[in-house]
Amino acid sequence: MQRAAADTAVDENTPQEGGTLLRRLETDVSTLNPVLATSRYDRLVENYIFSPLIYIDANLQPTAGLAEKWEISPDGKLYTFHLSPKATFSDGVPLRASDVIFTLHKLVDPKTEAPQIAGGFEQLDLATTRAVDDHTVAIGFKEVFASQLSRFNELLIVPEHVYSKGDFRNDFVSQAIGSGPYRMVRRVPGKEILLERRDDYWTRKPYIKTVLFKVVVENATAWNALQKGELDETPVSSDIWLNESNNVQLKKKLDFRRFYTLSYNYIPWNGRDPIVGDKRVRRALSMCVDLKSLINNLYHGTARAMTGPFTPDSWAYNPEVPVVEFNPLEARRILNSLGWLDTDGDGILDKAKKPLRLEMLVIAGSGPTMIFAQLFQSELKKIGVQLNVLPLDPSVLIQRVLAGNYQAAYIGWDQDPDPDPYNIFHSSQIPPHGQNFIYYANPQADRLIEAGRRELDHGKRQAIYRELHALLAEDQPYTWTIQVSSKWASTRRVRGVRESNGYGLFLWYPGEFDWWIAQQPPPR
Amino acid sequence: MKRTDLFAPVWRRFRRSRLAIAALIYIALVSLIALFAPLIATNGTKALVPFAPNDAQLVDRLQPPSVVHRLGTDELGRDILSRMIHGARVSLTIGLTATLISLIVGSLLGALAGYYGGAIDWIVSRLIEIVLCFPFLFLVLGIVALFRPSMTTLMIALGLTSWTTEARFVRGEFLRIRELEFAQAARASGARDVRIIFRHLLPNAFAPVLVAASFGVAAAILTESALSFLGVGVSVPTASWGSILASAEENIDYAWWMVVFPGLAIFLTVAAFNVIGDRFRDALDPRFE
Repeated sequence: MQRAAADTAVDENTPQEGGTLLRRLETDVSTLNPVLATSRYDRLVENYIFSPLIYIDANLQPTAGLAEKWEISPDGKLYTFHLSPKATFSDGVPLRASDVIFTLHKLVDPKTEAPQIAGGFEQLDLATTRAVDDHTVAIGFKEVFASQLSRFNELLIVPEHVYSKGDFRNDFVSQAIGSGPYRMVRRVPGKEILLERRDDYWTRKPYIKTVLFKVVVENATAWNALQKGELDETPVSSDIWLNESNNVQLKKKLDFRRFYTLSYNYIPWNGRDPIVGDKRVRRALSMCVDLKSLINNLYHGTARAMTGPFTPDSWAYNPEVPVVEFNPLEARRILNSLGWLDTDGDGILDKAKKPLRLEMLVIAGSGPTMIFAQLFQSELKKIGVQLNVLPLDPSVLIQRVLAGNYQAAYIGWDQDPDPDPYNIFHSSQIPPHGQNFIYYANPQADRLIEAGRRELDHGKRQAIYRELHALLAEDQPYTWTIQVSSKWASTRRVRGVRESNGYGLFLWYPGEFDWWIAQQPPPR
Repeated sequence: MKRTDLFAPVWRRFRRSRLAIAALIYIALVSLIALFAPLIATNGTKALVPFAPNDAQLVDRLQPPSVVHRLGTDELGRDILSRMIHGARVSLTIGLTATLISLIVGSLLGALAGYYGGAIDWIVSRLIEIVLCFPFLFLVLGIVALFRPSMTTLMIALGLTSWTTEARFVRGEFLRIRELEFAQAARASGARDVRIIFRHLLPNAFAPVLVAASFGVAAAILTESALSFLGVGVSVPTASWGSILASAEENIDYAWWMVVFPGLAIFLTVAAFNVIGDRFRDALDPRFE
């Protein structure tokens, strides 16, 4: 930490105990039951209350969580975890292997309707999964899955003696008991969630005494609240970051950070659509996205172009795949060669008397999304393609996309630390089975995806994914656009904030558990 | 001839207010600009404002007012002045059409209720009460959300939710004048109901309705701005004053010009329509003589 020299009032290397951290929730949690979690906002809170079998460290590598150590059988199908014998739930009851088994059963029980986490545990083999003793659990799978180990980070353990009673889906929405470092004090839906550090926490205690999550939906509101000290951290828009992160007055109060995470933006094209189902059309449309101008003028260099399904920081990324060049003239030539011509002279291409009209769904109210959509719209109009932009509520948009009731959309993915393209590009994952809502089906891609998730040799797996990266870039089932760096501001009283390689400020270990609050904010 | 006689003193009284005349001139000017927007603001050096409203130049985004971009540029580098000129078209069209719809629906229902009374009056009156029960903006939001947001949806939604004022005015006037001598004379001479309503009664009940309509235009423009601000207004890239304001929200700290100019346009136009309505109402009242 370079600023340590300038600060004399607070010793940067001696974290202080206590204090209250005011964190922002951009959307209220949908439930505090970790098995039913649907969004990353749920996880932000649950990460304090519950603990996973393993944590992910700053370099996205597995590290000890509830499990102190683990072994993987030679055939790669059986995982044996040795749980910490000290681990207890916040009600004082010790955590046992049976709680892990209970959580796993709940996760795969169709009645639970566990939405997303279940993805990593589809091949769970209940026949070989068992509690070896009180603190040893063996978890078996029907098939080898190369990124399985990191998926255990998503498995937050719930206590059987509490969660087996009552209605599992509805009784644990606003209350929670887990083995994490904090206990739940209260939740006011739509407003706030208060957490308090457990004095009886079974491993190294975090420094901060209480954590208050405030639901602040509006970005502008959050930014004002941060400056007034009513929040301690918030993501900030690129425009605020560019204009304010060098503001001397503000830097006395706030720290600004910028880093790349595992998320990226893209346009999914509905593969069943008669127009955009053709990969040549998709490529032509991709040529009308001026990524360079977007990155330079809108993000001032704080974003980078995507070329395929893996982000530039990922080991699976293929550096040889080129960015689709911005070339509207070539795009028009391609469309013309496919029979799309402006026969009636109205400025819009047509084929068999049908004009080339497309509709793209976007999330309403998001500034950068609307800017991107209108730029794309304006470039397409120049080559005779009419793009209607339909802003929708996030929930409606997701629903329509998952149901295949769309032509195009502008959305983003948050990748797993160990990427597995299976759920979004394998032909078996076409809805309702998975999230292949682009209806992409290429036998060659299927083969690579299957081989990649079975291959335990890292070098070979990397080669497979690089080949897949090139193949998907060729097929353009998505128009991959950009990876925007995350930009955060936090108050200067919060210390010990560090970035991981891909996870950002929290949800890795120790991450937010290493933060502390300087009781006397020093002048800079 | 009879009608000019009726309106001459009204116009004379109206003319006396200099503010009202200024408002009238302002509205006429804005209407002219809106009418000729495609000629005034378009690509090409000959145009008065040499920028098309939807021409994005990302390099020039968020430029403050200058000689080139007289009212600055927005977050996509589009010329604000050009967008406001084209936005005037949208805002005025929506305001006027929505008011026309509410005028037709309101007058018709009000006339039927006032003329026939009895069961029809009861039904119309209850209908008015039901519509009035809903908070106006939420009702409009609900209708717009049901269909996809477009200019047509907006105009219909606004028109179909704001006819109650007109209906009440017309009903009240009809109750008063349907028993007057000229109405009885028309009836005695064997005129059919349709003729009595439209030829004899409605023209005599129309003055107060026009006052309501003038306020109605102001309200419709304001509501359109509010809806566009909430993101359920006209679809992109079409500009309306409200949608320019909406895109200003995220940049409010750095781009005051995106807030001030469209805000001023909305304020002045709404104020002008209100002034006209207000002075027109006063002019209709002979006691102000």
